[in-house]
Amino acid sequence: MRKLLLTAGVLAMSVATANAAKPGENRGGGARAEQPRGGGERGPGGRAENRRGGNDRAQRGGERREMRMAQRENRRENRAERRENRGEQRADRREDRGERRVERRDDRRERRVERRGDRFERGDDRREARADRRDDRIDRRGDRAERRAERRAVVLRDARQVQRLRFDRGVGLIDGCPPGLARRNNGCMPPGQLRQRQRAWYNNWWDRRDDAADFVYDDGYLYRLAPSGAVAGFVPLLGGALWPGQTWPTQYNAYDVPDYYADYYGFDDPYDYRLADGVIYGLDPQTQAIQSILALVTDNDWQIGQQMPDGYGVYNVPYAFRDQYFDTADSWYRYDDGYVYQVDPTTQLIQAAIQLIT
Amino acid sequence: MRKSALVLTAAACLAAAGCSDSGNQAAGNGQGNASANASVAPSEGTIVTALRGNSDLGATAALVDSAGLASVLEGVGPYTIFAPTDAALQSGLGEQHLGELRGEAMRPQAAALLRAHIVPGVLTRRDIVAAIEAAHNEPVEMRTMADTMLTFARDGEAILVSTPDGARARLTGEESAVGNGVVQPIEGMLRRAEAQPG
Repeated sequence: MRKLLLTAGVLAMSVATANAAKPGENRGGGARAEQPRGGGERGPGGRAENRRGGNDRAQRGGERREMRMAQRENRRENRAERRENRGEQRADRREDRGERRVERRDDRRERRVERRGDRFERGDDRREARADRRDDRIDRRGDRAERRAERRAVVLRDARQVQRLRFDRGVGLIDGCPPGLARRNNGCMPPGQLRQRQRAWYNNWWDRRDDAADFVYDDGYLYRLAPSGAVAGFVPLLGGALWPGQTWPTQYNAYDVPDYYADYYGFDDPYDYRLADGVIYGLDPQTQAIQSILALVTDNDWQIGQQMPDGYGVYNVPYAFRDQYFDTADSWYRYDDGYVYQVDPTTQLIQAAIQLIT
Repeated sequence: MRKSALVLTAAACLAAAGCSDSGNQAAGNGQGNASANASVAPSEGTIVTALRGNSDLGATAALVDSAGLASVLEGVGPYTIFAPTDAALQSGLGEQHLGELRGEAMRPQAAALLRAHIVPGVLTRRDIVAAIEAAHNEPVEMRTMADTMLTFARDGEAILVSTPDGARARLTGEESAVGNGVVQPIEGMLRRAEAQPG
């Protein structure tokens, strides 16, 4: 661009110089050079003539007037020519500028078009990449849907084929003294707040554990108190000691989660999956720090050939399977923890477990 | 994890051709009617988005967040949450206790409370009414994620849900059938506070 401007500038100057050098045309300096100089005639020679008589003077005066008039006329013509020339130069410069502007505009337009082209190309690339990713996702979704659809037809009638969450309600309670209290060597007596054994307004919310025992809450744990007031056991709680970022309590046993559940719930992070007290957590395999709270499960005891657990009086099958598994006079269907179970309405015996996805 | 969970839900819906994004009213009773069951049409979204989108359920939505259960209720599920309205939580707990319950220090209590309001699977009102009718208008039961029992009975045109410790609530407003379950607004709490709110 700079090059173009410089070139245009040089061109303009050349045009001006060329005009100035044209033969036969009056221009500022040139006109003055050709112009007769009255002062020269008034030189030493002129003074000599002045000493002649009045007729000569009158004649000379007339000549001078004529010369002045001619000079004035010349100057007028020169000015007019200069004006004309300036106009031409201005027009030339305007024309040059116009041309340069047009050229610059064309350049910019070209560059814009090029950039747009680049962008389009890049956009095309991105669009293609996005489309690829979308296709991948759709493929994966399709695969999963296919798997689900395939597994939907798999009705398990042999209890040994059913992967079940292992559950023992006793696992929720860690017997003995928490390490923090044990270090105090005070017979595992709880801190002041617990020792007062005041029942908080939410205390009955833990009543699933053991109505006969005295449980009190403190700082993310539920403590079971012995009649002496000493801590007899403790439970780390969801939301307290069991919370993302916390390291899994070393004394707290948990169960591994069978593959089927990881598939069903769509767990695809590189975590260790642990089940404790009806909650599935994702843990960092290296640090054992809790990364995520993933699912709630009932841990109810559904075994083929056994009676259906209490508390499933309402049809609750997921939307996607309702067109296939609906209650009839011969069979009921109930959902729990990743399976649909087929139940005999009369005997309430579980006839089959239906996997929903692998 | 959340993404994959939602993808799985969406995929399941596609596979069964039983889901659409039109409306949030559920239908189907599970009583021998395939066409009725197939007509269940959950809207897009999750239990969490349904809670957040209901102006009467803001307090329950806040408790779900503070208890760390949003990741669960955005997952595959399905679950049905009986969600106390803001007025119900206010009345059942009082301003002070409700405020405390939203705090970090009471996350375990919030989680325990919510688990007592969640049952496994998809429970539409139509399913509950059909179950009561199939039981010759006797109450029917469902077990919660806190291992407590909910009892459903008809109360005129309404559905009443109650617990062994004496908590009672009517189902109110409109249910929201979403991709990973159902939100059923209720007029009361399904856990009683031991001490009356001050």
